[in-house]
Amino acid sequence: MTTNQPRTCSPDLSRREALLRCGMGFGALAMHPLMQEYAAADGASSANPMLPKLPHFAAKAKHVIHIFANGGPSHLDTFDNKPSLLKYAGKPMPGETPRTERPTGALYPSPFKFKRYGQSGTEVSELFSKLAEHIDDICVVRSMHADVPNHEPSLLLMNTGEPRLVRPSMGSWLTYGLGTENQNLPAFIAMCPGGYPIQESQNWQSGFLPGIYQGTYIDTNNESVDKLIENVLNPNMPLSKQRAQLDFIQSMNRKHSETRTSDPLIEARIQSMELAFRMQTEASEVFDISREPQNIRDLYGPGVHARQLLIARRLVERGVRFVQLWHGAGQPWDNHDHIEKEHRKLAGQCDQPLAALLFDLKRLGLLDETLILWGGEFGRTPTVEMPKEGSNAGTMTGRDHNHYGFTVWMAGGGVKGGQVYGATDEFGFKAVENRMHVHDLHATMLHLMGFDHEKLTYRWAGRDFRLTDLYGRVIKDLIA
Amino acid sequence: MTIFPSIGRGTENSQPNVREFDDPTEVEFFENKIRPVLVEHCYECHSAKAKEASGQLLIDSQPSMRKGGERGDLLAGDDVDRKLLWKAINYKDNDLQMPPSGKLAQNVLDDFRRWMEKGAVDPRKEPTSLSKESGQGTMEARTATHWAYTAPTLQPLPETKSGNWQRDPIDAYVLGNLESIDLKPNPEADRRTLIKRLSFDLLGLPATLQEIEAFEQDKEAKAYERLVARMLESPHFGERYARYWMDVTRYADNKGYVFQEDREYPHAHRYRSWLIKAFNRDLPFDDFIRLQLAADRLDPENKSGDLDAMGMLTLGRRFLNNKNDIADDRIDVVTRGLMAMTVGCARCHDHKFDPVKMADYYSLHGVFINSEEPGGEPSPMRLTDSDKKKESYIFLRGQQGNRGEKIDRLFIQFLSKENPLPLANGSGRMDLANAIVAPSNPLTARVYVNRVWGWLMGTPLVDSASDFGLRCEPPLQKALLDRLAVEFMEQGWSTKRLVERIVCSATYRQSSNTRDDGMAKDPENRYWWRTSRRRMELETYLDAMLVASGTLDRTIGGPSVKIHEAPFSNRRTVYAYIDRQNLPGIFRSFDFASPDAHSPKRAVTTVPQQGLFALNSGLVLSHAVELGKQATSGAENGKQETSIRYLFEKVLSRQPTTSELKWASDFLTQSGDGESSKIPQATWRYGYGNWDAASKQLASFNDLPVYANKKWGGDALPDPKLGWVHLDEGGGHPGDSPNFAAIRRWTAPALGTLRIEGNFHHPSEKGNGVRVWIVRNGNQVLGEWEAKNKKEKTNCNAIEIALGDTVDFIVDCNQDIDSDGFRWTVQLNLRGASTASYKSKEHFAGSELQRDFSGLAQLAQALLATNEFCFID
Repeated sequence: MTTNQPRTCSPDLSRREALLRCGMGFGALAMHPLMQEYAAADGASSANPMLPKLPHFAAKAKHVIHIFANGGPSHLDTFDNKPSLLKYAGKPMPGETPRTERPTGALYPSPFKFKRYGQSGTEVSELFSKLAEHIDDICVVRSMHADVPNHEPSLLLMNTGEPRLVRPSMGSWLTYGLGTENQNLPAFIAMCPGGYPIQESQNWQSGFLPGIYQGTYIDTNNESVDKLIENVLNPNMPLSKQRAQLDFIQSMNRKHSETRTSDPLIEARIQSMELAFRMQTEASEVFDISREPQNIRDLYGPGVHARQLLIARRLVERGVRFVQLWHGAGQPWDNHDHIEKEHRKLAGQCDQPLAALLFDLKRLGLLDETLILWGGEFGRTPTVEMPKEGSNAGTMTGRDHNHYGFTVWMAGGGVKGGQVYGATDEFGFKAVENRMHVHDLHATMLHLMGFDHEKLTYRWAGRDFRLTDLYGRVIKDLIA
Repeated sequence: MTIFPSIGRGTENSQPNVREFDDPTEVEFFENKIRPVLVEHCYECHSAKAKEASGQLLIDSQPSMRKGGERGDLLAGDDVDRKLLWKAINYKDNDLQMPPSGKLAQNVLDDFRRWMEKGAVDPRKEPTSLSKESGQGTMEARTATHWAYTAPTLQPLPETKSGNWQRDPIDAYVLGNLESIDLKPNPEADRRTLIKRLSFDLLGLPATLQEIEAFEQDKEAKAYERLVARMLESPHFGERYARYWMDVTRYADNKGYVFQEDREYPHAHRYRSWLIKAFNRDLPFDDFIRLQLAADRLDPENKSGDLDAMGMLTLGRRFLNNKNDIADDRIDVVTRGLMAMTVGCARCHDHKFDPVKMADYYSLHGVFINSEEPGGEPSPMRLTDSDKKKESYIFLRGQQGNRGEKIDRLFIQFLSKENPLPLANGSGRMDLANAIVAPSNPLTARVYVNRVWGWLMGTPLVDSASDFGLRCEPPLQKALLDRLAVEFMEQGWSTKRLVERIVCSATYRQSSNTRDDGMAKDPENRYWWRTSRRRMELETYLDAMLVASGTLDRTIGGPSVKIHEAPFSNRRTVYAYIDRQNLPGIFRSFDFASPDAHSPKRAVTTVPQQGLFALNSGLVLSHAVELGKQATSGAENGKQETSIRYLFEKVLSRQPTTSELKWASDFLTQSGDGESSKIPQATWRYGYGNWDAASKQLASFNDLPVYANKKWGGDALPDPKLGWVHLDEGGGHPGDSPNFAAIRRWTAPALGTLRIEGNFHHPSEKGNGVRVWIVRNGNQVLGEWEAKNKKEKTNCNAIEIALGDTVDFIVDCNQDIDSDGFRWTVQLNLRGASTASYKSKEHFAGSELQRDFSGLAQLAQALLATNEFCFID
């Protein structure tokens, strides 16, 4: 894609071609709302940038669920067991003295027990014992590395591929490239309970792409839909009355367009008013998890993480392109202190619902088309953080930031599960084997979604920009 | 004789030794084992044919490999392990790993190692260079002839067949082009369309019905021109054009993410006010630019109030206060915004496509690094030249720690080839400003007139309005662009004269109707055979609602307001507080320009979020409610038709047609201002007043003014004027005298038989209790009670009531305000054409919107949501 006009099923195509290119047979025509748009909006489709588009090549993955454990979860206490930490516990790290953001001391063994799971025998700590039951669907990448040990640039790097400057996020790129399958819901949704992570909505920004590609933020601490999506309900008017009102509007619009033929913008606005009306119902419905059977709700368990993961499933089920879930406002996984207690608490909030999500997507046959990424912006040091006034609680119970080596995991969406890719050194400080930079992760994810990461571009300020800037390698070993 | 290195003897910095011929065995080895790998894995990025040479490195010839890229000779060093090429392919260095797609196979690495150990024999002797671009001539040659880099000149007007259509040379060029594809222009639009269009384009506000009618009736010869002149003198012109310019200069009221530092730019609005004044007084554009870049030299004491102009430079994002990124943002605003040059591309390497060098970038970088923000008055937004001059260096690959050669600060060099223009005076900002607006600069005037054309016509003449570089084809209407640019400079860089000539042209005055021949030959209207229809953008859309509801505050200038938050402001949208870090949804849904960087033009998308805003947002509802109230009170004898006519006039600036009257009336019947029920919330009002128990007369009823903390009441509790009187969903409290009885009022939405049931409770044992009445139409008592520390059923006998009858539920303090809180819920069952229940608790109207969202308000909202309201023909 090299122009700024993402391909749509263009009005030049015959209906038949449009249907085929959009991956649907004729049978879908009668019932699928999307096809009604095509049917109605001949000549107007270019005005709606969200109509579904084809990627560069066929791909399994159609949706992304990115679970962001913001703050920097410790790979050493979750997915990257290092027995040497116990062996050298309390001693300085042999070899080099690690250069960390804050002073750290001796090697600090994990307080959590690891166990092998599944046929792959991948080691996972007790923190994620329920998720680990699905380890054979999961590809654990233990050789991630980023650029700097600071939250702000690392968050932006993970989300936009650029640590400082204003660039579109991965979700924006993908909705720009693919549009969305359900015009009644936002294409890209970012959920975070209780407020924003640091860097706030820059994490799901559209940068220089049109603003409509920006993630729609939702505070999942709210349970009522009118607080979740802006303007989704009219508090003063039942839908039946509003339908009558819309009918009046459309009568006026039809009369107006009688003398204004061949104007796609006019036609598009008529259509989009209907979309808006339908979105009210559909959006209200999708966020209402009480519509799920009790056994499914029990599967996810209690709490806000269970709720937002279940909502995520309901969203991708309805064709939403990119869902990003944050653990909470600020940087909850940033445990400079009390890592045992804090990590246990945080993992306890999401282990069961994460396991439920994998099970549930598989049950519905959605796992193959849903690419799941779990991880933070970096990992943590194998050495204990030294007490420091002001910056931590003055104890020696935590770990500092570590961008040299950390873990993410992926599942579904054409990812080859049941494997571990790459490795850190003996102490888990640096990625050494099959190193995978954040750009490589992005290139690989775009590939899984059907894009050549070097060709999904947008011309801005004289350059054809892309998510991976000048970098990125597709790691073929990760792909099933 | 060819010159080539041998290895194993030289040191890293010594000249290579020379041999006379290559060992044939080694040449064969190279051809078989090495060259194919280089071709397959490296040439894509590192050859003269590559689109972009990464790291400024070519390896498609032996001399190029020895010259190397930014890191130097690839083969320097005695030891293979120390050679750059080996380090790269061996993948041990985390910062240097080639090829990027993955490490080469071990046997290939072994070949490379052997090849280097044996002297790295390489027969590819022909040096290649980066400046050659296949087929299209050198960049130098293309630069010399590129249309945008050559000064604009006046082209003769074309011969055209139809002679009497033209009003301005603009039209001659347009007509010439149209005739070349055998199209005619559209006829002139009607007067109504023209004044609406002009008002939108020049003021950003809709024309009112009175203005339209006056213009339609103006029979003077130059009525149109006089209308244009009047509008150009309106202070709203400056507001309209300031907002356009704020897109160019990425205006925002805060810095973006800056960790714990104060995020606000509390004085940003002063830049906006300066812009508005500048456009209103028609400050010549060259001075307009000079002041925005260097007012510290031109008005150092701020005697003319011009220092605020420098907000153009200083109101950008702060990037956690990284000074190089801040400078980069300023370079981008200045070069793309004013000259349509993408100089930012030369931060890490010479520009790939344009003749912009890193030296150009770092000259401008030096200008901004040598400018500092002293903060405080006379203008917190000003820059001044640093006292201590910092030398300027190139940063290799854009990295601060990677200092390259020292440079003299010069203006973009290819634009001043013969006479390099030093940016040396202090920071060089004044020099830079003068170079940008020098009449000899081929870009600045063109770039600006192109933007103004785009603002007025919907599409600029050069589509890539902020990139006139080598990849930008000459526009179809180049002669027109050039004439506008040349005459703009000749006429003293006057924005108003430029706007005036464009809107007075026959081209602008065409109707926007489509024709089959036009749609067939030029569907995108690149030849201007019609005027393009436009949808209102965020600002004009919101401002038009302010005008329609008659609530617009016309004060010019002033601080920013959060326009998206209730209670909604009556200020024009140009005064919106712009939060660049978390831009509210309304701005994103309506294609607002990103405030993060210079914006060449706005996207035009049509998405359902816009529809949701029109149907449900509190902002739109507030205007609808206001219009609904006006339409109700303006209606003589409650005549529905008068109300409908009022709304059409206010929202669409015209009278309804017969069929529209019928649609509206049908809708009102359905929605309840007719005979069926209103929405139940709208039947209730919350007030206070004087109930004279002796004469059984309600002397006054006033709405409680404020809804807060789930109560209707005064500004405070107790309120200095109203005292304790308030009402909530389940009860309330009377005020401290008979003048402040608490009155919950229900107004009958239809006629019928009414039954009232209720439960009253005065809980307190203290004081003397309260008195309670139910009163119809202010004088007919349906029931009365006294209550102290007890519960009462407040049921009434069935009565016949008429549409518009009131039923008041009155509580007074019984002359003693002590402990008079009460609970009172009532249910009214109305049986008429249909049956409905109205419940004081369930249908409690928790906001003015809910209370006042009448059928007429719903009709007003519908009109505000029509295409007719949102599009400009």
